Amino acid sequence: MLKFEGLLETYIAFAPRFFASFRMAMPVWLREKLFHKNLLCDKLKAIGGAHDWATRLLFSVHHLAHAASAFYATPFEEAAILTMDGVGAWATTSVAMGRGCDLAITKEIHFPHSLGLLYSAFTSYTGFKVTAGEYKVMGLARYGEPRFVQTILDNLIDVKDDGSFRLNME
Amino acid sequence: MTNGTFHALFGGPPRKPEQWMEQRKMDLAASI
Repeated sequence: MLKFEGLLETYIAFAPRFFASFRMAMPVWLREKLFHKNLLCDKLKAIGGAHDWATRLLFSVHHLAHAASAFYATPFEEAAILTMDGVGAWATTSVAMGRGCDLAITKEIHFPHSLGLLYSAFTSYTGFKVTAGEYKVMGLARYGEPRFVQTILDNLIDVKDDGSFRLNME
Repeated sequence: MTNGTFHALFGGPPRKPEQWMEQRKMDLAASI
């Protein structure tokens, strides 16, 4: 629901630009994504088992799930976990602390400031499909010289002393 | 996904999928 809210707010902020994208995205959201829990409960009931799936089925915060999949698979009793991706709900980057079984997010950077989306901008610019062709950009990097690093740092991303960052949305 | 400011910054319009890959785009890939 949070992601849907973020999506709607972004479409409204940039309207009428991206109307074609809005028109493609909304049917999927209204038909399926908003009702994932009901759909999953129905499927689980069909498989069997007299469980109260509506109560037992839990959804995690996007970046907490990333952090959990990293931290709980390590041998460390205590660790800091940094997650960075496109966007999940509003967070694009998070710092979490894991101790034993406990895991909590302590800091977040929010949309639109996103390293993942910045990488996607370059994916699109180099002629590949966003959220699909990023690996091609990674492969392409082997054949280039990093002569635009300073241009990117000077114009697109402001990296702060504490390691956080802000994108230049212009 | 990118605008005119972005294109001016990196010396031209986005590559279309059917176009040949230029060295400039490879350099961009290595820079990000």
